[in-house]
Amino acid sequence: MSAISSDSQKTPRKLEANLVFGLSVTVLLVACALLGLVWTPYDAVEQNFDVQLQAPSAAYWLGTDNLGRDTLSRLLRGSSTSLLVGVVSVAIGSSLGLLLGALAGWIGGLLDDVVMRVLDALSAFPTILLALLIATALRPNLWSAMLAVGISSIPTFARLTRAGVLSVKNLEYIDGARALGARDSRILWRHVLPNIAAPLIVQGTFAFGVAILAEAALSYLGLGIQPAVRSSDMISWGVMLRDAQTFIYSSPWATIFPGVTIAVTVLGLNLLGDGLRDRADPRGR
Amino acid sequence: MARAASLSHKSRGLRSTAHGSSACFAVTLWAVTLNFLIRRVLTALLTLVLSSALVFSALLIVPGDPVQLILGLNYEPTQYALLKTQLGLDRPPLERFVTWWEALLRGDMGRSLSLNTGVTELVVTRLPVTMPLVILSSLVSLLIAIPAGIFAARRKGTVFDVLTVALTQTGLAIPSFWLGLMLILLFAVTLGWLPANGWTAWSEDPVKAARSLVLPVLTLALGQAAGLVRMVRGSVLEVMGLDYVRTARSKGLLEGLVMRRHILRNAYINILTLVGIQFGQLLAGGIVVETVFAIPGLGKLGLDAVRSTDFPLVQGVVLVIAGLIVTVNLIVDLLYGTLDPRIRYD
Repeated sequence: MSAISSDSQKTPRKLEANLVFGLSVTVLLVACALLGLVWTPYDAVEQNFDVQLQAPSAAYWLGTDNLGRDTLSRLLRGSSTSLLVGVVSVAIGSSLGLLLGALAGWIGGLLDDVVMRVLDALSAFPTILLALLIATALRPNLWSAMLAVGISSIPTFARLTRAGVLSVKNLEYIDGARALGARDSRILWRHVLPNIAAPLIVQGTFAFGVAILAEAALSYLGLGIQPAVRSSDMISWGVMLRDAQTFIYSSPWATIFPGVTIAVTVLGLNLLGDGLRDRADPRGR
Repeated sequence: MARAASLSHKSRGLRSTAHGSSACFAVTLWAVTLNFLIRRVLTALLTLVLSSALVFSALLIVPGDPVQLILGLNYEPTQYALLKTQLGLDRPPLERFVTWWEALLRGDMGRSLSLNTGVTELVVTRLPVTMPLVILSSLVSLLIAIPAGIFAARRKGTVFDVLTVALTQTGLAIPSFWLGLMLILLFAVTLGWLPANGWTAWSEDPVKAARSLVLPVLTLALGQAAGLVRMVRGSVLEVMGLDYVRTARSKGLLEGLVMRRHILRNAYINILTLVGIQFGQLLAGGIVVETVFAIPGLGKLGLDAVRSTDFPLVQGVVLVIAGLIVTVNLIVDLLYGTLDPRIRYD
């Protein structure tokens, strides 16, 4: 008995660390994204050839890039892009995944088989291959990247939804709702979804991190966001690294900061996902 | 657990119908195996057809006119008509899909628009560049991940375990291309031990070829190892908690023997599937790493093709990579079924 109580006292405190770190990083990301939209220390796009490739200093905290643009300002603007990419990709993946998974699980039979086989094929397809195809058809831009990332995450959301629907489908309270005359759509929305929401939210958090990581890689490869030309253009952390690579010998700083920013952001989101999962299902670990 | 339960249930059923006849049991076992083989091959073929449909549809999702997208603003009307016929856009999509597949079965993936060469030929010349990178990375990542994962699982809860888990968490959050850049910064820029990028043919200068592959392989392998370590650790921990391990311990077997004979032998079977899963990830990751280190492999071919809106070439590269992934997964699944008879009954 004492072993159990000391165990249950110890584990939550350890889990909270994940949650606290993850939440702080996420809040920081949102704050930076909002700040980056309205204010940055310097103009993030305008070139200033007097201060090219500077090391970090009091004026430029994280240094400048090859075109004399302040790295901190560009990272702030990049965080808005990452937040947008995360939100839109997860929205695409989760909405289509929920729809397909719910249909497959609820209706079952042949439809279930067809949908799940198609999704199996899709999940054997790495994001980058999808991105190659979509970027050729739509030309590489923000949307081609978000679509590729979003579509790749459909199978995971669909499988989770399907499993959730199957697990509650034959329970008594569903029969009860049906006996009261509720339509299928209402039962799914009001009675099934709330019961399977927890794993979906956890998956959404992981998918958010994956989306940010994938967008940076795609933009680095030239399959996503293009280099900013006008002040209103989107800035991608991946593009910053692509630009910086050329000057890695003369200015290592420019390759270090954007990478650290991506890693910390994604680590935060992953730990938040871990923390949420442990909260939702303490027996899991 | 469910798998084991269904197995015992089935074997009980078999025994009762076969009245203990071992010959009859062998025939049934053989039928089960054949059934498993056929089912797995059919699934792989279906996945291949579905993937090819996905690849094929790239031309269909172009908003507006694909021919105009490829030609840009300045073109002759004859050029337009020619390209339209070459891409088959004058025929209905379904008919095109069938002709495309007929050509695929002959090994013909069409002609590249930008390089004016057969796509199959182009892809085949790049495979010897990409495959060594992928295969070496796979080996290195397994060499890192299996010992680390087993060690972490055996010392669960110790400092080493916590450190390993923390490292893998970090590894999973680091973009692979940035890891490559940091390795360049350390080993090429600061220490000057290895070349920062470039590629040399093995036939030309083996030492130079090997040296230029070290950083790309390390980049790909380390990124991959992060995910693998967690899976190996999880798989060993799972087996460690099973009943037969407790039985082995309770009959007084030495811990080392339990580990080798009962835990690892079963965990290795799980690890085999990981090789299949990671192969796809390595091929995909290879595209990124090839870009970081300016290696002229399949990835570079595909990216150049995207830049010049070369639909047949993009489709060819994607199809070959997808085909490789499906094939390797099939082989791994079949091996898995051979090594672990329990799978065949599922």
